[in-house]
Amino acid sequence: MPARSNGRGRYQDSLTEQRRDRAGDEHAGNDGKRSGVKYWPLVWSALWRKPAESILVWLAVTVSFALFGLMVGLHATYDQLITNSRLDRLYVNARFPSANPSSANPTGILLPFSLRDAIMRIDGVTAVSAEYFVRGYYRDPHIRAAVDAVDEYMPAAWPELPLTPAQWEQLHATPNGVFVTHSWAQALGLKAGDTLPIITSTAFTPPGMGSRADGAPAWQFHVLGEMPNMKGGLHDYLILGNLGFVDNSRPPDLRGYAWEYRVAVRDATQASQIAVRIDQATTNSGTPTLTIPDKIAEADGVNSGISVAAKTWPIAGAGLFMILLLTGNGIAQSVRERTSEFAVLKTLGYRQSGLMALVFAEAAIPCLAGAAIGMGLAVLMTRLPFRYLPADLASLPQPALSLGVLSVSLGCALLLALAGAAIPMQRLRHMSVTDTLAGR
Amino acid sequence: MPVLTQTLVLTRLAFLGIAQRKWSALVLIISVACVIAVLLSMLSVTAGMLRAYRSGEDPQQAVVLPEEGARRAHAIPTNIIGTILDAPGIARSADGHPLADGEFQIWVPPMGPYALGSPNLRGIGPVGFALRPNLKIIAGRSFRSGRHEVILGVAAARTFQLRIGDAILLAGGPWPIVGMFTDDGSMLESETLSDTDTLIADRQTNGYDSIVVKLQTPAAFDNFARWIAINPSLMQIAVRQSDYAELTANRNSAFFTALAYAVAAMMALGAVFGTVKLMYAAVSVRTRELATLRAIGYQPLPVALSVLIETVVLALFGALAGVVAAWLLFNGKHVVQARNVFDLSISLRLVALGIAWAVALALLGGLPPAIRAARRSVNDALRAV
Repeated sequence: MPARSNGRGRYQDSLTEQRRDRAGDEHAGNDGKRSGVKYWPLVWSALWRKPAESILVWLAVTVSFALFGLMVGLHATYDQLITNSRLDRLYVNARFPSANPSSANPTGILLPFSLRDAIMRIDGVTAVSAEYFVRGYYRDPHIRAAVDAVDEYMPAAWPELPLTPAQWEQLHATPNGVFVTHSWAQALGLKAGDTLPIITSTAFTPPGMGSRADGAPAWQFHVLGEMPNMKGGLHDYLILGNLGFVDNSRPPDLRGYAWEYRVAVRDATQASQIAVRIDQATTNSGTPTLTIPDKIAEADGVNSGISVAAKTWPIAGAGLFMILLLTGNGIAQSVRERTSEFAVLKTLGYRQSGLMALVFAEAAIPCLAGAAIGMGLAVLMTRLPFRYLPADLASLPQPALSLGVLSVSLGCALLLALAGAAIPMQRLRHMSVTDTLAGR
Repeated sequence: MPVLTQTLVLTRLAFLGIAQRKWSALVLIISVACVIAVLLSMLSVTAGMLRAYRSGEDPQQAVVLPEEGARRAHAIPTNIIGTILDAPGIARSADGHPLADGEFQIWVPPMGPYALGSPNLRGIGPVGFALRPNLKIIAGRSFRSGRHEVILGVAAARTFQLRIGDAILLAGGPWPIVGMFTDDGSMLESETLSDTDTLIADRQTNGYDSIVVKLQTPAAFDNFARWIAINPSLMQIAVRQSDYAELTANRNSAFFTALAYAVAAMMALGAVFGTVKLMYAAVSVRTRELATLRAIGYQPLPVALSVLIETVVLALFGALAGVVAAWLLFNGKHVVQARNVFDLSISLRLVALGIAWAVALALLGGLPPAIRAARRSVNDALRAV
């Protein structure tokens, strides 16, 4: 195995160099300053003692940290979905969505515009806004897109929307205008002035919900510009449109209806009671409502399905555990094989702490490098456009790889190195120099 | 057969010396166990769901559904059931009635706070009980046709905190819960049941969601399905009950299954790198032993095979540990997915899948070290030690 003998040769060269350096340092009296530089060749040659095995360990660490990053990021996203959802927001939907249209509810799902005033009259409600979703696809049936058509009350009902007052004005002044979030603009390659056709079909939206007065399946929107993504990774893929335009384009008998209402309340502690009051007010109407507090809806969405969020930590943990054993085993083996070399270093006057640091660095470097590159891979993977994902994974929210997540994984890498190096370090501490040198 | 004999001898030697490499071997076993445990624990959702859908499965039963592309709520007009009952091969009850039943499903809005959730409501007809022999009323009584009444599955009662005497609220008013039922752990236990015709009348609609049919023999299915498919007055298709269960379970768990495979594949890639490293080390420790054996006439192929066999055997131990861990932690655990309540299951199929993954992982990870061990020149190897 030529690589190995080369590695050992290099190691011994650096040992000789160290000895020379050390002698020089003692004369110069600046031991501390250059100690970091002195140790580096030792660490480096130890890492490359068996290049193939080092690279394999590093690859395994990299892959595991990529997975760790994705899982922790996913968990962070789910957490954000719940924390960012607000207690003072309510959604109003049809309580008895039904397939049979009636005169009060022509699609069985929609709510009449007149309901807005009825909800507004309820005590504690500060804003009510209607929205309608034009759901379909853009260019390719795999690229699903929805335009969230909103009315002029939306800035009050949902003030976090990232549009400036001038942009709101522009949106309501341009009938078919839309604003697209940065993420969507990037993903679809859209810029201001582009046309955004959304093709609806019953595969994406209940029958009648996407239909137009002219019978065409395609809705032509005009991109007015980009808006920044909203804070917290929520609604990264949002297209805001104009409810007036969408409503006027619908068949005459289906005009005047909202898909849902978004309600803001003054006092978050009263939200649940207000939800009950809204539902009571509509009990005997043609369209009884079901009012859902935003926070409960989000928590429900995250937890009531098969909870992916609950699985992310155990998976990330299992991946790291695997790596812990692997690096630990690698370091232990390396220290075991080089006991005599450590004994020589001790004889030469290297301090105990220096040798410990040497072993720790040998464990930490592949862990940190693997964590950094693995996280980089994870970031790249989250940037992967939707069309490269398997269709079944399209509903996966984008893992949020914030600086926090990055530092958590680097911290984990250091802990991992420490845990992996602990036993070898312990063994080294109790090593008897004379016995080892004598080959006992 | 010198190759086989030599392989056996070399494999035996490898395992005799494994005590010296016990930590590496243990690391390999645990790495594989982690991969398999993660894979199986995630797939136990799919398997559990499938088991709940297939519970009480009868090979003689088929389900008639709207054609692909016409799948919307209540899409089978009630007036075509007469035509479907004319289809060949349908079994008959003792009093001569064909065993076929139109079913209807709706979502029930939550009764209490929204967070509590709510069960589905399924309408079944008079033949429905005959088609579901496991369905047993365990408290109260069954619903009566023509009355706004429902019975409640035990899993729904537990999950949505409902009991006899409560009522579910539909557009037309409250429907009291008059009884509780079990169905041998099937998905039906997470639903509420009522009379189809009463429910359809209340909803002012005129369509079923599916029609369940009992056939005279399982073999009668092909003829029955063809008759349904080619009948120009019908826009429906027939599927076997087992296929329908699989279809539904796969549709409801597709996302989770895809995620399980993606995550396990990444973990397995890490484990493959780890395995290559560990086996390289194992081979390198045995350099002198292997070189000596080569020098006395052992061929390269048995050397390579013995390394591969060692890796596979260690990985199998890992798979076993992974299966046991996943089984202890997850098998039989209750989960609620949307409105379906079921138990996670580590099925035999999953165990086989876990073993297949472990073997594949071991072969990928063991191959480079095996090749290195076999190709190493005897001279160099003997000199190196």
